[in-house]
Amino acid sequence: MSERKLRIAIAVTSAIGIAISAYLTYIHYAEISPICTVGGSCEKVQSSSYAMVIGLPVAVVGLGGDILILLSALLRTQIARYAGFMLALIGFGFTIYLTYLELFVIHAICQWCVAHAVVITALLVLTAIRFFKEPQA
Amino acid sequence: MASRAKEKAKLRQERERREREHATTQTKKRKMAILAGSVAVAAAVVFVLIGISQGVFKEGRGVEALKGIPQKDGFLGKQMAPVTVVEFADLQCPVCADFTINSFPDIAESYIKSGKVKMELVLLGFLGPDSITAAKAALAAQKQGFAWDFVELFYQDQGAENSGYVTDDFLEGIVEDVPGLDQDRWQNDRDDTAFDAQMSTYNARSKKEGVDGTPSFLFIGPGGKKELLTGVISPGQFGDAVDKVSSK
Repeated sequence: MSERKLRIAIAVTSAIGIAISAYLTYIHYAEISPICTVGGSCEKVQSSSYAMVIGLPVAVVGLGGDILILLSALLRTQIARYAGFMLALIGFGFTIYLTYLELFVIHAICQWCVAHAVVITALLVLTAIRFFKEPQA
Repeated sequence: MASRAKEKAKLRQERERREREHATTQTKKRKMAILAGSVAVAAAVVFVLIGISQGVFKEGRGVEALKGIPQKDGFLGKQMAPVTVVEFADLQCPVCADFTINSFPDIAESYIKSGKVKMELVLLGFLGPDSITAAKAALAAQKQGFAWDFVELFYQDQGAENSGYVTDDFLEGIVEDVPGLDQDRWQNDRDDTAFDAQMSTYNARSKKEGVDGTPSFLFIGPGGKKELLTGVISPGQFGDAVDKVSSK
């Protein structure tokens, strides 16, 4: 895949992540329940004590990360390639922790969180290919 | 001559091939080192984030039952919660401490975190001067959005009524255990003269609502229906009262 195609793929995928995180941020501050097809599980996860990190809702932290990955895709420097990869790696690591909490601590699965986990996994693969691929002359 | 030139060309090609292989190996090694370093850094960042979110790096005890619940102006819970429960309490009151330590965690989990109920704290000072000193210290914490944390921790360390235990050292020991509270700001706010008026307002409000003991809980439903309960109430009694004021 060419550098251009990779950048487009990262930008589109991170935009999907931004949409999910922005929705979860909105429902947090609007104090409403998320649209959830699995009876009430999303609300259980969102209202749990684990839905906050460094004093912020997890959705806000995710939104920040997604925006930064999108910005990294807009830049063509090697630093931007590495920053995008690192952000996706950190996001992926934290997603593993959050998924563990959902499965074994909160005992509820939020479909929005699962959707974002898929997005961040895809971003990790794309940013890794972009960073480790030999730049084409 | 021709064979020597061929030999030279062959040697050059061989040298170039070895150089290419070496460069490729070096590049692979460099990439692996970057990958390993990146994974290590990312893992460290994730562990720090997890540590922060679980309160590992926070100073003080903190209050588990309050984790993740918003607080503002003495209110605990989501502002749009349909039922409001006003808790009238005196920080020196042992029954108030009993309720907070034994019943409150389940109530917070079942009713407040779920957004069904928001609670409002109204501090009274009818047991003695120490109650007023403690209440003002709690109001100073409330200015930073930590009233409920302060009250919870105060109850955990509560001493005998009017034994003089509510000293500056005692109160400072409480706020030291409230994660995120700015202690210098709290110290300055303690002298806020507006707290006298606020305590008078709280007192007048308790009289208006017919409160004759602490803790008392005034349940206010979405339609304005009210129910007043006094004493230690169980999560079950709390839920029954919520249902009662929520019914039409």
